[in-house]
Order: sequence, then C-alpha cells, then structure tokens
Amino acid sequence: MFSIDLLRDAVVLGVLLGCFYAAVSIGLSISFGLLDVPHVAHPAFLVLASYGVYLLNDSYDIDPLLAGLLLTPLFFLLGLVTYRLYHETFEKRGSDAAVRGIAFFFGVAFIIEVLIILQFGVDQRSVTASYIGKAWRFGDLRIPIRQLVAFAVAIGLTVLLAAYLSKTFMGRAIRAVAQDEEGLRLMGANPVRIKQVAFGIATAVLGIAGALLIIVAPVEPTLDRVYIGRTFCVVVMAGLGSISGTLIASIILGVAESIVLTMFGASWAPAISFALLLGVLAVRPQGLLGR
Amino acid sequence: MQRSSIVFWTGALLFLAVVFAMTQLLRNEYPFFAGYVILQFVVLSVAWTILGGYAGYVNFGTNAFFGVGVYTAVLLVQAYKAPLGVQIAAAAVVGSLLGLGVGLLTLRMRGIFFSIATIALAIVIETTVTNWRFVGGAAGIQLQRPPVTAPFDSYVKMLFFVQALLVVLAVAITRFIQNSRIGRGLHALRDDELAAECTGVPTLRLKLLACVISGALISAGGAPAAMYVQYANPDSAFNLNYSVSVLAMSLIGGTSHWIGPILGAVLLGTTQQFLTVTISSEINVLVLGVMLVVFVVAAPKGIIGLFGKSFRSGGRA
Amino acid sequence: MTTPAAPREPLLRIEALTKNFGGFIALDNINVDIAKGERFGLIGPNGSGKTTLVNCISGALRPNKGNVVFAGADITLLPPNRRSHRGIARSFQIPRPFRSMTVLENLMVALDFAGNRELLETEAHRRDAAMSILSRIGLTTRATVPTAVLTQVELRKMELARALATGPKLLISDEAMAGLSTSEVDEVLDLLMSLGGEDIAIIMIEHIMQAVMRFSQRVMCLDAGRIIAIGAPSEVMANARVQEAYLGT
Repeated sequence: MFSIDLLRDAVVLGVLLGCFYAAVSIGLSISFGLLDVPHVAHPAFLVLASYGVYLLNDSYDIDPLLAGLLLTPLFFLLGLVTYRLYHETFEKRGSDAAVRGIAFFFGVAFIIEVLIILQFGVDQRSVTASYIGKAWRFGDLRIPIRQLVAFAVAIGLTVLLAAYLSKTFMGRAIRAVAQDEEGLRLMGANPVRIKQVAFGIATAVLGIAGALLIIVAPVEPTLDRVYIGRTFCVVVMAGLGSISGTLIASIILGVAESIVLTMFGASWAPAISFALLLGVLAVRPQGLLGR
Repeated sequence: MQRSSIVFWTGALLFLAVVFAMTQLLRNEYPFFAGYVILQFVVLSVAWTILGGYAGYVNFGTNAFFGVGVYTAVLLVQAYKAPLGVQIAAAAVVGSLLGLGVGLLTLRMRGIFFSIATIALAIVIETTVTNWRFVGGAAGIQLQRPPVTAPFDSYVKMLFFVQALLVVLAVAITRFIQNSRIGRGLHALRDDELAAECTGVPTLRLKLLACVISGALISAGGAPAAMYVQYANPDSAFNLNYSVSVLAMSLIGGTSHWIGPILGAVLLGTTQQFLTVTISSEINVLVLGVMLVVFVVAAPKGIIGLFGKSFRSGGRA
Repeated sequence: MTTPAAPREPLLRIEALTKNFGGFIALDNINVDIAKGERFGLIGPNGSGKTTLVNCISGALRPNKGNVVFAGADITLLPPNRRSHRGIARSFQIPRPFRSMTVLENLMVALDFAGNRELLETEAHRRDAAMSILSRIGLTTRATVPTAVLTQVELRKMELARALATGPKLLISDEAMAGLSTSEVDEVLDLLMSLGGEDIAIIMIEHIMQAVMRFSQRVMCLDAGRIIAIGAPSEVMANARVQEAYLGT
C-alpha cells in the first residue's frame, strides 16, 4: 500500500519524467506559445522523428542520440516548409486562421500517422544502445539509466534554448516578434522570416526529442495522441512561450502522473495531463506561471 | 407555411418513404450496414455545425459526445434492458448535460483553447469509462440485441430506419436554428463576440443553447451504435477518428448552411465505406487526412462555397 | 474644481468609478452625470482612460469600485446585452462589423434582439425599420453589400446605424471620425448632431478638437484616469491643465 517511501520514489521518478516532458514540449512552447501557431501536429512530428531514429539505429546501428542529432537539420527544413505553408494559406488570409489552422494540423497529424503505419506497421518499435536496459540502484529505488539520459539531455536542451532566446540576436528577435510584430516591422526586420526560423528551430529540436521518446520507451504510430494532451498541458500551464516555465510545468505534470500511477494504477494516467490542462484552462487561461 | 418549408418537409417525407421502402424490399443486409454509418455521420456533422459552424466554436470533442451516447445505451441495456427508443432519448439527455458543461467552457475560452479543452474533456471521460467495471472497463462489453420489431425483418434494417429518422430530426432542428434569429445571433457572435454582445445579442444564452442542442443530437446519433456493432469498448467509442471525420465532413461540405455538412458526410462517408471495403482502413484514414488538408487550404468555404452566393451565410432556405 | 450641475434630470450617473488593471489605475474615482439628450464630449490624451470608461458604461469591463446608474437603475453588474436592451449603444474605436454579413444583416442582428420588440414583431417590420435607419444614415445603396467592401467612412456610418437599430437612449461614439477626411468628418458630425435632437444622449470621444467644440454642450477631459476639467467647451479648452495635458510633454 501507500507509504512515504513510495511517495518519495514517485516524486523522484516524476521529476525525471517531467524533464523528459520538457524536452518534447519545448518546441511547442515556441511554435504555439510564442508564434501562436495551433500546432496539434507537433506530437505527430515528434513520433515521426522517433521512427527516423529507429530507422538509423536499426539499419546502421547509429546511437539513438546521435541519430536524433543527425535528424535535426532535416527537421529544421521541415519546420521552415511547414511554417511557410501555414503562413501563406492561413495567416495571410486573416480571419479564423486559428480555427482552420487547427483543422489543417489535425489533417497533417493523421497523414503522418498513416504513413508511419504503411511503412512500419502498427507494432511497437524500440532502439538499442549500451545504456538501455540498465539501471542504477539507490537503496530500494531503481532508476533506469535511459531515464537519466533523457533527464540530462532534456536539461541541456532547455538551458541551451533558453540561452539562445535570451542571449543571441536572433533569439531576442524571436521573443520580440511574439510581443510586438508591428514594432519589429517598423524597425525594418521581416517578422515572417523571423517566425519561419523560429518554427524551424522548434521543429529541429524534435529530432533530439524524438530520440529521447524512443529511448525512454518503445513507440507506436498513434502515440502522438496522448502527447497532444501532455505537450499542450505543459505549454499552457507554463504560460505561453516561457522556457523556464516549460521546465517547471513539465516537472509538475511528471510528478502528478507518477504519483497517480503509483496510487491508482496505469489506467488513470492518460487523463492526468488532460485534467490538469482542463483545470488550468478553466481557472487561469494565462497559465500558472505565465506573463 | 412558407414555400421553402413545404419543399423541405416534402423532401424529408420522401426521404423517409424511400428509406422505409428499401428496408421492406431489399433482402441483402450489406447496403444497410454501410448506409447506417453514412446516415450516422450525417447526423453528427449536421449537429456539429450548429456549434462549430454557426457559432464558430470548433468542438474537437465529438468523440466525447459520441462515446457518451454509446455508453448511455450500454448502461441502460446492462441495467434495465431498456428499449432502443429509451436508449436514444436518454443519450440525448446526457449529451445535452455534457453540452451544458462544454457551454460553460465557452465562458472562459475561445478559439484554439476551446478546441484543446474539448479534446481534453473527451480523454478525461474516456479514462473514467475505461475504469468503470460495470460497463466493461477497458476490455469492452458484448451486447445482446433484443428480437426485432415488425415491420422490420432484421435489426440492422431497423437501425438504418431509426438513424434516418434522426437525420430528419437533426436537419430540421438545424434548419430551424439557421432560419430563426438564433442563427443570426450565432453568426454575429462568431464574427465578433463583443460587438454582438453590445448589439443586444445574449451571447451566453445562445452559446449554451447551441452546445446543448449540438451535444444532445451527437449523443443521440451515437447511441444506436452500441446495438449496431453489438459491442462497445472505450477505445473505439471515444476514438479521435470521429472528431476528425466529423470536422472534415463539415468543413468539406461548408459550415454556413445546413446542406453543407450533409454533402460532406455523404461524400466522405461513401468514399470511406468504399475504401474500407476495397483497400484498407489505413488508406481510409489517409484519405480523410488528405481531403481535410486539401479543403482547408484550397476551398476554405467548402463545397457550398464553390457554388457561389445562394448558400452564403445567413442566407435562408 | 467645481462640477457644474447637469442641465436636466440625469440619464446616466457614474458614481465613484474606479478600474485597475493589475497595479495600473486606469480610472480613479470618476463622478459624472449625463442628462437626457445631452451632447457630451469626452477628451483626453491617449491612455487617459476614455475607452476604459466607455467599456465600463457599455459593460465590456466591470469596474473595481463604484456604480453605473442608468435611467434610475443600477446596471453596474449587467452584461452588455442587457444594457443594450435598456438603451445603451456604442460604436468601436476600430470598427467591428459582423464580417460575414451584409450591411442590412448587421442591422438586423440589432433589431432581431432589440429590447423593445413591439413594433418589430415580424421579419418584414424589422427589415423596414433597418432600411429606414439606413436611409437616414445615407447607406441605402449599400444595404446588400458585404461589409468587407465598405470604405472607412461607410464602416463608421454602418456602426452608427447598427447602434441606432438597438433603439438607444444613450449612444457612445468612440472616435467615429478617426482617419476620415475633413468633409467626411463634417458629414458624420452632422449626423450625430441630428440624433441629439431626438432625445438620444451622445457621448462623443474625439481627438479632432474642432469637432468636439462644435458638437458638445459639455466637455470632460480625462488625464491619467482622473477628471481634470469639465464644463462648457470653451472653458475646458482654456483650462491650463487641459492645455498642459495636450500640449505639454
């Protein structure tokens, strides 16, 4: 039954899980949080990246993290193209862009799902690496090394992106375009170009995030559906576009899921993110930690 | 009665007469199996349009309403062996209550936030049902059909006719809304909620009304599905495919006039039935995705938008 | 500073109205009466609280403190549509037409949901009423065009027409002349003046001083959420603090 020890373990594992959620959500925190693009295909792109990593790992025996890194330029290009298309067809035409945009991205998500099924089938796929399958023991707490790898990479990614957005010229321009597009235009910058690059970065990050996804657990083609809840939950809770908020919100979600998993069992876990999301939207739509 | 109303009701009665004649004359059950699904999607898409089209609140929780309809039927069959009519009526009541809940969400959020909240609602309800043993839990539940009532000689034919009745009901209600001041008020709040409010439109009341009616009709349209497949599990009853299909059908047909979702549902529904049988259900989902993307990009006002002004929003027919 | 008594029985009474946004005080203890049929000018630099005041009167915002009393009833907590039914109508600083509709349909929305429906029982009655308002505003020829093709001045007029269709006792015109040419300003101004004669009180927010001077029986100037002057137009213009608020800094 329930005990303090169990709770402690649940919290520790929840923090690790939460950092992993930060890695998969951080792209959305840019594309939806900063750029207002209703990118419900974000989790589908994520799963697509996982399958890319699987392919490289399975065929050429490349380490999954390296494979993820190799995918980033490709995903950067994918992001550029996606934003261009979205901008030309929705943002430019103005009214109800968000509503038709969300329908558009749902369609894209479904197309990706089916293409993956047609290529790889509906079975689960996983990767092999030296650190997968081993665990560290701290007393009676067992921490899989794959979780630690995900944790470390996720923290690194978050710090790196936060630094990029606050320290570099382009990063500051991205933050500026989110707040005052008109002002930026008056200064002679091209907001569309900046947003396109930002969306490219948001998508490129998914290369690494996809690697983490398949390192942490096997993936299947429709895995994106549960991640719609997790990623949007994190981004909304974080307060749109806040990178540090994303990390904190992810940890809250990870710990909540982990505790519910321990106390009530796995069958309740999928609802946690969505229930949190619903609660946040209803009570504080501007986010728990937000601007 | 106005001329357009006479035309409409004549058409509706003719439609029901043809459907009834089919159930009496055709021996093969297959057309009814396929036709049922198409009629079901007509009900769902037309009902969805009241909120998603007229009011501009894009509900992605169609699967929540559908699943709630299915499971209301399951519960009543399990507990009381309730007849089909009672199942559908009860599903409508539960659906309207859920609609009221969704309506309250519109108080705090709109646009994509509303859409995401409806997805979230669907998953939360699905998870609850998954953990509810009495209605079968995650594994699902087998259902026994009662003996069919005359004049029908098979249960599927009867369900087909019942779904046709629901089509007429859903379209009549939606048409009434479109032609009354409720429709104009919903269009006004879709265009600009604050301006509508300041022009005297009781936006909250209209939004709640739209949510309740839309929800009741979607749940009612879903209820017979329990008996149609004689089996229910949370995964299929709350499948996100319902949300995306209904969204696609409504957008493809066009959401400014009730004829739009009918066109979309018949077109896409028929294509899907055909593809599922001839190729595979994966291709079916692929086509759904591609059609959704193509129409949203290339024909934002749907099929009826391509046919010019006669179906312009607010237009009467 | 003395507040001159409103010339007649007050239609609108603002009592100790205060509105904050977070720590920012947008309106600070505003008291003012507006009489039936009065033509009232509201001026002040950008960010002085004019639009916030309008939003508190029309119901788009709720004040943190104070009351809004209209025709003898406290309406502070009523939503905008109920205020519209009681006779408060407004136009918007940036026009907000119902974009999917024609000009006539925009007016029909107001008539469909009007508070006083005695003369508007049938669709045909409402259509006649809408057409007669359009003809008075001078938009008859544009009745069946979508709002997307209207010019700036036509949009402004359409908003006034839609506001009139609600059957107001008080009309708030929020910079209805911004971005118009001199002749168009005169046209809209004449329109507003003619309404004053029908016992519709009008609050006009405006930056064009000549228009305010010509139009208003009384003028109120806000600065940083406070009333810095109120009275006859010439007095207010001569006020040192008003001149400082406008010309200084």
